[in-house]
Amino acid sequence: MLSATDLVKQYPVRGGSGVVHALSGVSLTVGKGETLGVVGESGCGKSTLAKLLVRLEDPTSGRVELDGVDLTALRGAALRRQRRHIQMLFQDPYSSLNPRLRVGQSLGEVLAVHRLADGHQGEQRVGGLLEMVGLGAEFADRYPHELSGGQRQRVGIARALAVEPKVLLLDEPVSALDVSVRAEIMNLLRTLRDELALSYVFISHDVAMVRHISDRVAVMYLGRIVELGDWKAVLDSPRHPYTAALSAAVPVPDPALSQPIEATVVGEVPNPAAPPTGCPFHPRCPLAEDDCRRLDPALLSWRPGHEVACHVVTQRVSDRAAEAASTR
Amino acid sequence: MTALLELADLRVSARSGRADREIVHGVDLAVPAGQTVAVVGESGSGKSLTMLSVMGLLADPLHVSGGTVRLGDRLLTALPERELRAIRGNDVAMIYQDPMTSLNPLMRVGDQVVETMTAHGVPKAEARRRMFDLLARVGIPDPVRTARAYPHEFSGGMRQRIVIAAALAMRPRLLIADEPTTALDVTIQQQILALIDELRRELGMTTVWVTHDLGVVARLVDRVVVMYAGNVVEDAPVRQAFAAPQHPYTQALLAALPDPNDDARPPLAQIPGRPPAATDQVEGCPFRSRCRQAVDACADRPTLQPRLAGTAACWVPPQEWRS
Repeated sequence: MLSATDLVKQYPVRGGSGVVHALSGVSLTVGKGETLGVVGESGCGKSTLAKLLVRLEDPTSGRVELDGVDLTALRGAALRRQRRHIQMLFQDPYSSLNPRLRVGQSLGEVLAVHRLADGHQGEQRVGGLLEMVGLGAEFADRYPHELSGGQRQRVGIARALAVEPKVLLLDEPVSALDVSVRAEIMNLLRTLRDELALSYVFISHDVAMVRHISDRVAVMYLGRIVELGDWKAVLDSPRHPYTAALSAAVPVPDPALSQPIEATVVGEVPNPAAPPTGCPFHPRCPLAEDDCRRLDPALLSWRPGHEVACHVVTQRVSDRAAEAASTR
Repeated sequence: MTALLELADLRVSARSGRADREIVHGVDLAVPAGQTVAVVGESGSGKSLTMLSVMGLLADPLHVSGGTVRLGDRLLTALPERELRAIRGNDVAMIYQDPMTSLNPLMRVGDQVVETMTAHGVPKAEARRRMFDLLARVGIPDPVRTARAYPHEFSGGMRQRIVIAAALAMRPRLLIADEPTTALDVTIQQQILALIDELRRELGMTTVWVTHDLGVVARLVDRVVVMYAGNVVEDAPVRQAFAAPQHPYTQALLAALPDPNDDARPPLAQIPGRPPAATDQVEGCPFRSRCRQAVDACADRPTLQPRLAGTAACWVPPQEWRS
């Protein structure tokens, strides 16, 4: 239902010539009721992707479609009508709540702006939304500063759901929360998804949480998707060396593994204003070969429903095919 | 074995009006030389305040309102600020979540590392020589050139490496690392954890990690101390803390983490309710209202009692080891 095709986003370099390649050709789809996990580190383009999907910014090129409607072509009132269907939830909902308004007023305003409900009907709807996120209607009278981090995130969810969207973009929704509160919010998000048949794009650097909630997972590095597929295949049997490094860096809560902790990948993410030639990961990659320094790998199918952008992996696939052909 | 660091009935309070509001309610903690301990707790548990008071770094209205902190043979809670300053950065070093809180944005990073040494009496020329070695040791590329750069020219991971170089310049006996990787990317987090752990072994430093995430410290520490609402509720060797957690709060914290090996991905275990606010008057066990195992005895406040190889403050009968 939500699809992005070959999204490119470039920003001019501040106070200089040249461009920052924030997103270099990203394509993805999210089905009804499906959760696509997007995992990557700072500078990988995951936040830019979110901004393009909700049309907070226009792509340099490429298309975003929702149920066959090309959002990138819409302007004015038509865009506002469609935008309602894709809502975003941020890491800290505090920044998106007016501190001077009571929770009920904030939610009521959203309903009124979108002409969904007002007056007594609006109040009832606000109460219903607060119940839905597990807070109870009495929270309508509270101010944001009177709420704990978890309660604020629940209000943020209620606000996003007020306009009855089809897709929720969740940008690091639990990263700022304590472990026990994180569990509550993750459970709430899964329940709401299943009850309301919502589609999620769950953006996070936290691989354990992405593994917990996603149907499919996209791994991003330096503005592109380097691996995409079923959650278990991508995270438990990763093919791309970067995904492998990310998965291995997830802390294992098992003290019985007594060998010292080791860095799983050396170096840091390159500057997106001066990306490396060839494969963007090659300067940090333990498997890099000559081709990787020259050629930019495309996202190719490794197995049905599992795509990888890596020369070394692709080489193995063609070797395997050649072997199969020669023994036939 | 005598402890290098020993907190005895340490209390932290906030002045409000004429009254004192107690936030940390008497922490007992002894860390033997060479041991690595994690102090684990969620926001408001008092874990950071407890470790800040070790360094004498509480800012008004917070202050130590009772108990003692001893480092080796010196009673830190009895020392004037001047003598504490001589100990900070020399015998004890601290690394925080945000490296910019420790770095001066207007000073070249090389000079900052040099300054921590000259402040403790190392001659300038020797300090400069050692600075280059230190920067190289923590993985800063091209130290001669980068020493001249300012903090804003570095990534978060590189800044944290510079902070580590400065913190360890005087080869402290005790290192306190308060969520040093929380703000960093996953692969960089792993690099920094590995670096601190390596240097800890190399220098034989006694180390206290402060964190809210049990998972991160599982493979780094010998022992886990769990804090809740200003109290130590459990203190146990690391394997026991994970395989036979004795306090219901420790059990709940572990259950709230997703199991990376479970393909069924069941809902995460929640802890009902919320921790008491610092302003609440709590009778009995502070975890009682949220505890699924609470019994009548919990109306009386439990103290730390021996449990297997550790201690726990709980009236509920002991838990067995899980296989």
